[in-house]
Parts: sequence; C-alpha cells; structure tokens
Amino acid sequence: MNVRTPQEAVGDFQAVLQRLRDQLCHVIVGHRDVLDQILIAFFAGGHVLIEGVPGTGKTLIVRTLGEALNLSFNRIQFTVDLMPADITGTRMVMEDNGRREFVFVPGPLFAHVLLADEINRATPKTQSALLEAMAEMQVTVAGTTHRLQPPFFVLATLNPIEMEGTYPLPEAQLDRFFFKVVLGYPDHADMRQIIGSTTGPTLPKAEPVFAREEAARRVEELRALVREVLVAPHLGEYAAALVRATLPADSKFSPGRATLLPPDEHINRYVSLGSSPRGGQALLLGAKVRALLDGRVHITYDDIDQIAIPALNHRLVLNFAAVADGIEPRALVERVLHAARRLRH
Amino acid sequence: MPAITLGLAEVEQRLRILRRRLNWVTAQQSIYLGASFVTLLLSAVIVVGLRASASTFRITACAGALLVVIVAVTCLAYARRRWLDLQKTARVVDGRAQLTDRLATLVDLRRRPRPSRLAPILVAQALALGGQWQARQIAPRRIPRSILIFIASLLALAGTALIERRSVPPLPSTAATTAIELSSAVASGARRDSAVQAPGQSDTAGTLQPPTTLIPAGDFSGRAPGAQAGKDQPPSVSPSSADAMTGSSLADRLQQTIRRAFHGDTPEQRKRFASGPGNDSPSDSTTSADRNRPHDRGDQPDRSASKKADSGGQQKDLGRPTGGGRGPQPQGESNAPQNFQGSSPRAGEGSSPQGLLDPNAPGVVAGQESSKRFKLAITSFLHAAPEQADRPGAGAWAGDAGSTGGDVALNNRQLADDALRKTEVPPEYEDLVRHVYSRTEP
Repeated sequence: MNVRTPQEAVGDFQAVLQRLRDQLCHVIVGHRDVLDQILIAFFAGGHVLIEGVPGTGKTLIVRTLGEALNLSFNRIQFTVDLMPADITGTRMVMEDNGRREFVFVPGPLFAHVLLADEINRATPKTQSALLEAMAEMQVTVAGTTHRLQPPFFVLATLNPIEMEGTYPLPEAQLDRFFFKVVLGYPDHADMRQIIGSTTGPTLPKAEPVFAREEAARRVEELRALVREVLVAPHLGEYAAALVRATLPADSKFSPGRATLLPPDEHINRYVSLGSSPRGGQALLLGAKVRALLDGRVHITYDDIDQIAIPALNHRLVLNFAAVADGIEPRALVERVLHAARRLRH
Repeated sequence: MPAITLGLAEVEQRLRILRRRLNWVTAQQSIYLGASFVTLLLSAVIVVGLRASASTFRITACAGALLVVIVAVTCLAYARRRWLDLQKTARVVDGRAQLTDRLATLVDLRRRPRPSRLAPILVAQALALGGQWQARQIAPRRIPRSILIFIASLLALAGTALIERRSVPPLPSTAATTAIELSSAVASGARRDSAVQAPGQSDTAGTLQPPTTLIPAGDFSGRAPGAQAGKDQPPSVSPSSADAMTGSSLADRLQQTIRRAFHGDTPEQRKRFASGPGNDSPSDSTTSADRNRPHDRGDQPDRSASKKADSGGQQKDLGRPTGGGRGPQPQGESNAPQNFQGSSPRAGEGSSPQGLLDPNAPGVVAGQESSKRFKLAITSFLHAAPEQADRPGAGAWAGDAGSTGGDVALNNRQLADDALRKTEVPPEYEDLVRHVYSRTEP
C-alpha cells in the first residue's frame, strides 16, 4: 500500500496497529496493557523484557506477534550451557567444488523477531552475546561483522521465581531493553476464557497483518513515521527532567545535579544507579507511538507519563537498603512522576 | 510547504495578538495589585499619623517607605515572571483551550531545520480548532479583576478622612504655644539647663521665672518638647539640637501635614481656643480636642483672638505671653514678678493649670502613646543665688543643712532648696514644684 499524504500515513499506522491488536487479542486473552506496551516498543524500534511467572503466556505472546507481523521468528531457550556461538552463529568449514573454506552460518539471532526465553538462565557471557545485536543490529564473529536485517525485535522473558542457577542480567544488558513489562496472572474472567479457548479442538491462530514480502518494509515505514511525530520543547525538557530525577544526588556518575525537579529523598536513599539517556530516548519514542495510536502527530505530557514506568523501572539499580525495605523500582518512578507534575504548568 | 508556512504564519499571528492581550492584562494586574497595596499602606500611615505618637509614626513611615520599595520590586518580578513570549503564550493557550500542546509544538517548528512531514496535519488541526482559542475566549477580560481591589483600597484611603484624631494630653504650658514660641521656649530651656546643674548661677530667689518647660526625659536632646508632648506640635528646631533633627523632622512634618490636611480646626474650636484654657473643663472632650490642635502658624486667628481678649480686659490671659509675640518675652516684662517668659503660663494668675495636668502624677504628663517621663526644668528661682554660690564654701557641706542663714555655707542642693523656699510658689503649683524638685538631681 502506497501512502501518499501524511494524513494517510497516520491513518495507516492506526489501522495497522488496530489490526495487530485484534490479532493478538484473538489469541491472547487479557493483558491488554502488556500487549500495547509490546506493540509500542516494537514500533519504536526497541526490545522488550517480559517478566512473569510460568504459564502466563509470555512465549505465546511473542510467537503470536511474529505470526501477526508475518516476520521471521526464532526462539532461543536459554540454558546454562548455551554458548554465544549458539546464538550468533559460527564459522564452519564448508566444501564447495573441492575447495574448503570457512563459511559463516548464522545463528538464531538472525531473525526479525527473536524470543529469548528465560534469558537469565544463560551465563553472562552468553547473555552479552545479545548486546551488540540489540544495540547496533549487527553481530561480529571471527572479526567479521554481519548486519541483521531490520526490523530486529528481541523479546526476552524472565522467570522471577526459581532463582537458583540463574544469572541476573547485567545493567548494560538491562539498559538495552526498551521496556520491561510484568505479566501477571489473569483474572477470573480471563482465566475462564483462556481455559475454554485453549482446550477446544482448534486453537486460536493469528492472521498475518502484512504480506510476507512486504512486512519488513512496512514495519520500517511505520517506524520511520513514528520518528516524525512532533515534540514540543517543553516536553523534551520534561522527559529529560524525569530521567535526571532518577539519579541519586550523591552519585559520582552524575556531577552537577542541575535539574528541574528537587532531589527526591527515596531516590537518594534507595537508588545506586539511575536511568541512562536511553531511558529518555525510550520515553520520547514510546510517547510518539502512543500519540500516533491516539491519532495525534504530537506528544503530550500524558503520553510520557504512560510510558515512564515500563521505560524507567528496569533502569534503576537499587541498593541493599531498597531490597531490605522492600522498595520496588516502580514505586520510585511513580514518586518521580508525582513530583514532576509541578512542571506541567 | 508554502501551505505550512501560511498556516504557521496565521497561527503565530493569532498567538501574537493573544500574547499582547495577556501581557497587557498582566501589566495591569501588576500595577493594580501594587497600587492597591501602596494605597492601603498609605491609608495605614495616615491612620497612624492621626492616631499614634510621633515615634510610632516615624517607624510606620519608614517601614512604609521600605514596603513600597519591596512592593515595587515584587510587582516587577511578578510581571516579569508572568510576562509571556510566544512559546509561553502558546502553552497558556494550549492549557486554556485544551489543545494538548498543539500550539506549543507548532511554534517550535520554525526553529527546526527540517520540519516534520506531519507538521501540516498539526497546522490544520490547530486552525480547525481555532474556535477554541479565540481571543475573547482565552483572555475575555481586558481589565483584570484586581482593579476591584484597587478601587477598594482607594475607598479605604478615602475612609481615613472619617477617622478622628486621637485625644492626647495637653501641654501644661497651655495650648496657645506656637511653633516659634516652642522653639524659643526650648532654646531658653536649654540655656537654663545649665542653671539647674549650677544653681549658684541662678537669678534672684523668690521670683518664679516662667521657663517651665516640659521636656520628655527620654528624648530630651533631639526634639522640640512640643512635638513630643503634644504629638501634634510642629517640629521646632532647637538651637542645641538642630543638627540632630534630620530624619525625624521629616517624619514629624509628614505627620503634621497629615493632621493638618485631615483635621483642620473648626471655627468653634478656634473660638474656644481663643478664649483660653481657663474656660476649658478637663472633662470636656471638645476641650481635649482643642488642646490637641496643631500649634503652628495656622493658629494666627487664635492669637488675634487672644489679643482681643486681653485688650478687652474681659478675661485674663492665662496661657499666652503677654507680649503676644512668638518670641521670648520682652525684656522689660520678663523681669516683672509672676510674669511670663516665652510660652510659659503665668504663675499665680488666672486659672489653675491643674486641670490640664494629671493630678495623680505631678510633673508627669503622660499621653496614651507618649513618653511617660518628663523632665521639668524650673530654673528661674534658682537664679536667685548666684552670689551664694560664689561664696567660699558653697557646694560643700557646712553645718546644718536646714540653715538658710547667709553665714553658713550651703551646698548646691541646699542653695536650691533655700531658693525654693524663698520663692513665692502659688499653691496650685506647690505640689508640682516640690515633687519635681525633689526628683531633680543636684
């Protein structure tokens, strides 16, 4: 479909997202907010970390998204003995017309949509194999850099229980995830619907929204449209102030704490490392997608606020005092948001 | 792109109109609020000037001047903080018209090197919603409501004209003292202060010379006694204290001006005043008001009336110099016994000044707001013993302290006591003089 005018582009974006929602909701029962956040992160060009207890549909969501987008989809089950080459690919000796040579065999990383299931069960070495791919969309093997085909979307899942034998994600890895969403148990009505729909003779299946050959291009068009959304200067300041407000005052990494918001007592007490600029990028890009979803071509304060918790909560590194006091990063981000309301006028 | 430019220009033009209007309202609001505060402050100063003492008024006036400066700075800061540029105007309009930051986003488009391809949509939306951000909806008032505060403050200022000047105790030296008379009295009093300290230099004993001036003890050197004791006395410059009267005299003059402006003497008051304090009953409130009348050059009719009374012989002049002038008594009359000098009352003649004084505290003239302690300098009768002071042995104890004989050397205290005893003090003054004299330090 050729989009000619900006108005048509915005309309097309809304239509595509609505169809995607419908397809996902056809398969996934409940979890509307999580689905919206995953779609926002996808069209913003980010990656998503899903944390949830087993059996809540994490893998199903990712697989359904790949089917609906009609993009290539791979799944990697992370285990302790998984090696980086198992993800990125490796060079193998291949014989061609009697001539042997090393040929790079791409790993499962080379796909549009990648599900990294239970990513915290792999060793940090293996986890870090994803770093370059997630940040720069390329993989370097044996000195050779291989570009990944856009769109590249990583959906990693975390199991918050059974922590034995797991390796917490390093901060650098966490920072590369656009959002971290938490998947909880469905409520009673959703539970009944899940049980009913998944125990019948036919399982619900998502229909692709795009044709296979044009899916990647369309997704890239829509992602480019997202970046065209307009941002007023004061909203940029607001997003920057939110990110700066997550930095503790006494941190040696944040000199010259000149911010629009006063230092928060809880942030200073419980946070050892605040959000990076990637958090600010996530705020604005996510707000842009939300604006387009709403049919607007400019963002508002509410767009940023709705994005703030999934965009910032996993970027706050809490100290022992926070763990001892049972403080969650989400609560700290909410405090920052509450304090930031004074900047609105 | 020209369509975007045209649309942006239209949006910016409308925003500029709104900006002018909003800034005008802000400026008015700042002015009205500041002027209201200043007007209320002025009202308060006037009330204080009418009702309070000179010292209180001075403090109030200085504090008021400081507050005016603070208010001016605050108003400027207020206006500066609320002054809108185009970007802020867009944000204000967005908020009031619920445009969800559309205009603020649009205004920023000019600064972008490459405008977004979505900008035309935003321009079209902003213009389509133009009905929501018309000037009459965003800034419906050309005149802010704070003008009502300003009007109310003006009414309060006008209401000060209805406030009565507070009654204050009269001057014991009668109410007919003018500013120049008081100045002369202060000058003569200052000269005789030395006589109090050295009673041996006083003139002839037995004559009660009139420089009986009441001077506030706490403020003895800086101001004219009339200005302090009578509150509404004009500031008179004493020769000994002229250099000390700089800032305070300005406040005094201001207070005097306020009192003159708000409470001019009525003809009845002037007539009563001209008839002298002897006809006044201490319990009469109007008499009290008469006493508190400003004693300045504006009292010329009173003095002429007093002269008329003197020439007619119908009434004794009780509180005015027989010379009728403002300066000291002519030399020929000042030497006469029981005569006046300066503005002091004639002792021994006319009505008793007891009614003008607090009977419970002789020598102390205490108004509600004025100083409670006064220094009464009665020096004329001390002039009688210059020769005694010059005698050998004067100023030291020599025998019987109660002796008044010329053969016995007396100290200063005894000399003064002796002079007092020889003085013909009218009965109505006796208690006062004894009381004050007993407090006088040798």
